[in-house]
Amino acid sequence: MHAQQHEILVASEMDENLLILEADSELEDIESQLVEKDDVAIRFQAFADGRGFSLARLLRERLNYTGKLRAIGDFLPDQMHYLARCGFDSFSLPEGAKAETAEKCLKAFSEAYQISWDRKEPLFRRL
Amino acid sequence: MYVYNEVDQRVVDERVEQYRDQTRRYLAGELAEDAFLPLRLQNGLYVQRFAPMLRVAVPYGLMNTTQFRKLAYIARFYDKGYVHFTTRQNVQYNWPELETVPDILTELASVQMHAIQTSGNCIRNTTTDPFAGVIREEETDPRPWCEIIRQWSTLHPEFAFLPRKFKIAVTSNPNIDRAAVQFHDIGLHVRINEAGETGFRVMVGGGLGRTPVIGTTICEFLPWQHLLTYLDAILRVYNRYGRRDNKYKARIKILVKAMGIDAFREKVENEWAFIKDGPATLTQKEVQRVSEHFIDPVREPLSDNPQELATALASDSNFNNWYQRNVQQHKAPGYAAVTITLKNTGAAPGDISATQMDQVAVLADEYSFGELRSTHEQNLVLSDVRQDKLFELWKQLTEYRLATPNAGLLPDMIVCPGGDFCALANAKSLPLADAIQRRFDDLDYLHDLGDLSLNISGCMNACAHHHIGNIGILGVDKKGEEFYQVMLGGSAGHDASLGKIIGPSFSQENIPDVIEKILTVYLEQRVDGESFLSAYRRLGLSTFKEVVYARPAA
Repeated sequence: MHAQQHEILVASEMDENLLILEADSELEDIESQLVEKDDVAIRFQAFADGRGFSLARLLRERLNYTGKLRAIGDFLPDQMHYLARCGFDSFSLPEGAKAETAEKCLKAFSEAYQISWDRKEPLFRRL
Repeated sequence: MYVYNEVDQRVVDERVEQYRDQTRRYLAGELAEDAFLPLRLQNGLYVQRFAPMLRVAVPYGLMNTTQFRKLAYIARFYDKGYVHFTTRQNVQYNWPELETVPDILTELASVQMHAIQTSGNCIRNTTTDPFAGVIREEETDPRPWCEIIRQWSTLHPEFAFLPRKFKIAVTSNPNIDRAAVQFHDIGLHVRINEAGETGFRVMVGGGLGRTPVIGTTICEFLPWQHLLTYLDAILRVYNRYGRRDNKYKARIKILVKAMGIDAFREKVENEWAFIKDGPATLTQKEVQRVSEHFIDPVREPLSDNPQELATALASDSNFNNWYQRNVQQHKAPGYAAVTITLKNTGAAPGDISATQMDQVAVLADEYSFGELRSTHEQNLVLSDVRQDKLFELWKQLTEYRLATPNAGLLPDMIVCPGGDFCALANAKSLPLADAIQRRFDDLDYLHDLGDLSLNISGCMNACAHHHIGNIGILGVDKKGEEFYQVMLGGSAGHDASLGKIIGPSFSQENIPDVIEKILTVYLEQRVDGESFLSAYRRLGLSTFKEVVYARPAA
């Protein structure tokens, strides 16, 4: 089901026209800003802070944002599979993380029970 | 019980491989300690006082004998020959080596078991009544719903890094709540309404730990189709707004208290409005598919109270004692559910040796359709035993030292591993439990006392749920010395209540005396066979306090 391409960047390759959202952003405040920028990034202040996962899904599923969504800041390659499922398709790797590890982590699981950005139906409707 | 399909198996196998690689990278220095921490925790691996501790999931306490034998094998081959059953119906190994954990997980996966989300700030193992599906008064069988929740919560992409851990419990028993659902982040009571429709009373924000709170009803009757979308909505609100600045204020109970239940409900309903009736809505077909795994075994047409049982009860008083306490009424005539208490003086509560496990597995195959359950009280249950075979079963359990007739009695304590194993503990709990079991060893006295729950936690994290024991004991640290606080009047059931602290704390050697004084007040003042809890509620804390703290006469 991993049809879409994931972009993996090293930290220095940041482009300019990027709307950077913090994990505690509210949707009402984001909507107007979305039109002005090309791409969106959600910043992780700490990898244990899971708010960015919910925010990503809300961007994708509530605001129907279809552009590029990048994870930046402090996240782990081991979280990238979940991040991708929540709607991230671009990853600005934290310092020290290897692209090769990241690629592998993205492919950790071949199936999932729940609905998510990359699976519009839960497993029980696809069985 | 539920049997994995190809996808269920693949998910578990892929998790094992993922974890194997994470362990490899950690040992190779590619994965930092702090980054490995949440990854190993999400797979049940703690680093304890002396060694790592691995917690294995026993989904809603259900196991077959193949799995049970595998757990015994792992105990023998990878650990010190015993396992520990927890209050979340899970299994803990206290001495595995970090390097061998991926191999243990491979062994577990070979029998459809895993350690996924048994720790960490994620959705944990769902628990239920250990007699689910075999008790008469139950409205419906909660187990299919537990399995549906297990699948939904397994590797949920959005909720793996919550502010704090998240526990869900399910019951469908209107009379006795053996799953303590009001003390969970989410408690579900499966109900059938007057129109015959299945739904859930949803309670939220219950919990123990440092801030014990009884859960509040957020939805009186949630039709079954909406279970998963409603859970998603609650979890999303919690994930976004739960506190992350202080781990002791991070559970959902604090958020619900801070917002107030009405504001919290409004937020959840707003969230739910967007996903309600969406693709995650449950289908009849899926509920049917899962429910087919929990159909009744083919039982013999029998009647209650067969001659064999009556004769044995009349002729053997030891068997009779055990029957009174450890045998539970069953929905099928001629059958019974049997509790094997893991509360034998000399062994830590909840512990069982690998040898005993193999023996129990043989008995489960012979007498109970090859299935076993673990309980919130850290015991085991054989759920489907013919009443005319109870005496035979009891004789074998006695031989294996597993027939202690103390289910629900004072020695059937819930006890955390405490300072002997746990790095968080302020005080030891196991030696205290042992001292109490040694003091109160007169069976007639204990049977006369009747139903009484005693819970001992070694610190305020409350792993043994001391707030909801009829008698609760909490280990505290006073200037480097171990002391114990005593509280009375807690209840885990539908009549949930939190215990009240009786007064200044005691040293370990005084605790058995203190308990004896408390029990004497009860025995002297009870009326009409009322339970300890009822007597406490009638008499009040001060009656007990006066006796416990009375100065000896000069």
